[in-house]
Amino acid sequence: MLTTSEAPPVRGRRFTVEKGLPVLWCVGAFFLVAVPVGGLVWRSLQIGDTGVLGLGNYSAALAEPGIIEAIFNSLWIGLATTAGALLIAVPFAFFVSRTDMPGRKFFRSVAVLTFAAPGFIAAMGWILLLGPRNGLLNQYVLTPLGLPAFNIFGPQGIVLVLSFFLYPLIFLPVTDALDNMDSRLEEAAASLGASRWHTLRRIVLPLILPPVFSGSLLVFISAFVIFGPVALLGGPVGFQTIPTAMLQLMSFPPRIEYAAVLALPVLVVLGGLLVLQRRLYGRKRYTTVGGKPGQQRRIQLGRWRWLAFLGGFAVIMISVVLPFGVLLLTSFRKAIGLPLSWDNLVLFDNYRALFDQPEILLSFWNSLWISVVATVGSIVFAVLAAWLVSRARSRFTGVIQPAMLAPLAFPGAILGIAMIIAFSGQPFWIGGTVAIMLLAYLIRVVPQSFTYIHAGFAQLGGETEEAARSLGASWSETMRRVTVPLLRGPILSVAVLNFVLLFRELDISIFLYTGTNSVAPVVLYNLAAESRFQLMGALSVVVLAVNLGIVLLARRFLGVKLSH
Amino acid sequence: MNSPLSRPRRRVSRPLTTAATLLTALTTAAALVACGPPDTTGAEDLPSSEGELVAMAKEEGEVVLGAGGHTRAQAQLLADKFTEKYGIKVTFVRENSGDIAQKTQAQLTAGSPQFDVVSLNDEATLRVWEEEQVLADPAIADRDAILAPLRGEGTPSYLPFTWGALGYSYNEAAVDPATAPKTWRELAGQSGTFAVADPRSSGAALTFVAAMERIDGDFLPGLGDADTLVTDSALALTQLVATGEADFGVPGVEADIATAREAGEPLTIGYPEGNIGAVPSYIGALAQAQHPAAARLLVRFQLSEEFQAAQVEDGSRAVLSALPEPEGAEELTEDRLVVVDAAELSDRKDELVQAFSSAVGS
Repeated sequence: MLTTSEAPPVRGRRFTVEKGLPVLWCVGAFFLVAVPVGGLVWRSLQIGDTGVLGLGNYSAALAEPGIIEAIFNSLWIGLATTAGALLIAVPFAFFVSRTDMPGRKFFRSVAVLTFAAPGFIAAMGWILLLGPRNGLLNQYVLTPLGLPAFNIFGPQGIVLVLSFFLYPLIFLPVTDALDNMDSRLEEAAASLGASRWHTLRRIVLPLILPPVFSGSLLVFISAFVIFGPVALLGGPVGFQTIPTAMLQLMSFPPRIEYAAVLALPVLVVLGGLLVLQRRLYGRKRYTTVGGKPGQQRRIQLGRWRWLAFLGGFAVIMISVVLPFGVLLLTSFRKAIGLPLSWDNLVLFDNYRALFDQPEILLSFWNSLWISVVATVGSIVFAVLAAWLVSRARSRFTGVIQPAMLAPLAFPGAILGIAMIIAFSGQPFWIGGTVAIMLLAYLIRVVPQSFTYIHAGFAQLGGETEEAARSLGASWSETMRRVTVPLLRGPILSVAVLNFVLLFRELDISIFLYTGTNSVAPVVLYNLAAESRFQLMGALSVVVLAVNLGIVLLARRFLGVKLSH
Repeated sequence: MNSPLSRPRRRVSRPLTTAATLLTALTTAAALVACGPPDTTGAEDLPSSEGELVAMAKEEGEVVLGAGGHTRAQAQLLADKFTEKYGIKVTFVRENSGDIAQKTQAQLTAGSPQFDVVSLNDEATLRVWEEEQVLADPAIADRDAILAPLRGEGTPSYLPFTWGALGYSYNEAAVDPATAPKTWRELAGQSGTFAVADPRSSGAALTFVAAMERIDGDFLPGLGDADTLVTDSALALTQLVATGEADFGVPGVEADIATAREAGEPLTIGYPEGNIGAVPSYIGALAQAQHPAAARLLVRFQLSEEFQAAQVEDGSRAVLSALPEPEGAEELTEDRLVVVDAAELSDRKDELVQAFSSAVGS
């Protein structure tokens, strides 16, 4: 085996692709992470307009009554949601990937659609379903069965909604990992006398640890910083988490110097989780893909397969069908304030009213192309970063992962403020343009793109790439013909996920929207804010239909494994 | 072995990389050149004569309004009438007052305001901006024509352009208007669920708490015994009342209820007897506006008798004392209105929030 010291001497000091990659990453990270996050942090260190720097804003904000309680609330909502999402996602992924459960292709296709509406719309849907007094499920299902009404207002409602809203962040990468795992590993264990449970515990679970941990990290942080559902479901009973408490603190009158303070607890937790991640599996190898497809043998469930189907059906029912079903119903109502009866139903009036407005079509077009471009851009950037971390082992490795995940620490509204501060003024002057929206969208999905692709690299043995290089393939050839095709699963999964998330991205968009750069979720929000709940329902259904179409097209033409 | 970098390989020049680097550099440079700073003359250079101002505004060609104090209908009416009169395009962004204030603050911090004119229903924020000279003087001569309780002290750069009463809201499909509470005390004694706006969330909600302290100090403590849901947005307040999760919304803001009714929701507003809180909506032009002449002209037009009359015809209240109530609107004489001074709201915010929390238990 040759090592670097034994390699033939390099003639001259030619610029090669590999040498340029860290520089390329640094430039990308500078614009996508350092400029917006750094600008925000810098502003948070300025005391008033005096120009004096200090931690006064941090101590003042954290000393506000209720903030410490909000931090604890965020922590336990994050933990409970992660536990709930894990309980749903891991068994569901196992049944979908490794068993003969009926409907698994369908379940896999539609799981990502939980993200097809902004969080606050999903929460509004759940209020219509499980409001303690008039929720449809309480009124027409639980009460007639003699069961107590479920109260969606409060932490129990938040955890329920968020668990079913966020579980695909674990489900999708774990399903990919299970797909890529060679079932001969399990067969070998079985032939050596290991029980099915023992094999699961000692072979399968350890091998899916990277995607389980990465997905859980995304769920935890998302639950930690999510605003809409907590405000709608927790606010009415006085339950505050970090984003709701801090956004309230900084909003009236506006105190944007507090914006970075909001991210401080999240950054601390995120840092702790990354250390934990490194300790858990930093030095171990989880290679399950070696360049040839893993052999799959599905577990025959026998008569239990229909029970498994019912479980999967329940997950899809609760996460997609019910919340969107109630929005669909709303889209056929004249008003949500009138009793649900035939007199209060219309056929297509709300849809017609929607499409009579040309700006809605323009906003759809904007959402579509911005989401596609941002998705592609974030994936290119994430592949570069993940390659540097997993393969190049450059001196940047320790910095890359935290930098790629840093945008996670900022709730959408805060990232929106950061974007305005960083890019609206000199030297960029892109405030109020579609360009700033595109850049913000790209930044928004960088963390999850990196997380998925990094986990994909962790499962990918480097031997095939090394073989290609030693046979004379260039870096770009190796990436194009070996690495990227082997990472096809995670790349396409995260691409579809990113698109769906961005197509309904609201929190940042609402801050960057200045009248000429409208996107679909802003229209959705404005309809809700103007009490046009019926049109909001109709538009939500259209957004769902677009996302469903994208998922099906991805399945048909790209063979995306969401519908394996 | 994981590192391909440690492998011997052919070292070949990569023209693709050089080309890509050059292309990136060129694109970035082009993008930065294309993104120039906005060209603006500044509000201080505006002509004093009306004719010259109009000519300059027409040359600017457009004006952008951050409409936090307008409803969509009000902003649309202003845009339509202004364009009709001057031929100048009005682009507006309608969001709640808090969002517009934050967005504007962030734009100001970046040194690149996208809005020329801002409307809010939060006077405290406008006072801060006034002190920081963020706002431009619209040079309005006849301030005395504005209703006395609304115009306040001094001559600030921002001006009230409409106002709404702070009553309570309910769903008339669920509560018969004939039996709806007639006094604040009667309302507090109702057995249903109340959706109450958190005073930390908006100027209207904080104004309501301060106003109720003066009107009926027992009202909010009275709600403490009732079933209450505290909301932090008008959106949630309206939704809770519309869906039947709450019987009464407090406060019922006239503009929000009018918007919901326009959308077909059977919500209505109750006006208890005696004094009632009022929340004005204010408008002001930004000193760093990209279209300063059009901004000043828009503020003046908003306050003109011509437009105020159009506003009344469209169902919104006018601020000029000479104009009548909109048709069908509750008649509220000046002596019934309780308008809380912004200075008081700023100074007593923590105290009012604390009083609300003790009373309602949020």
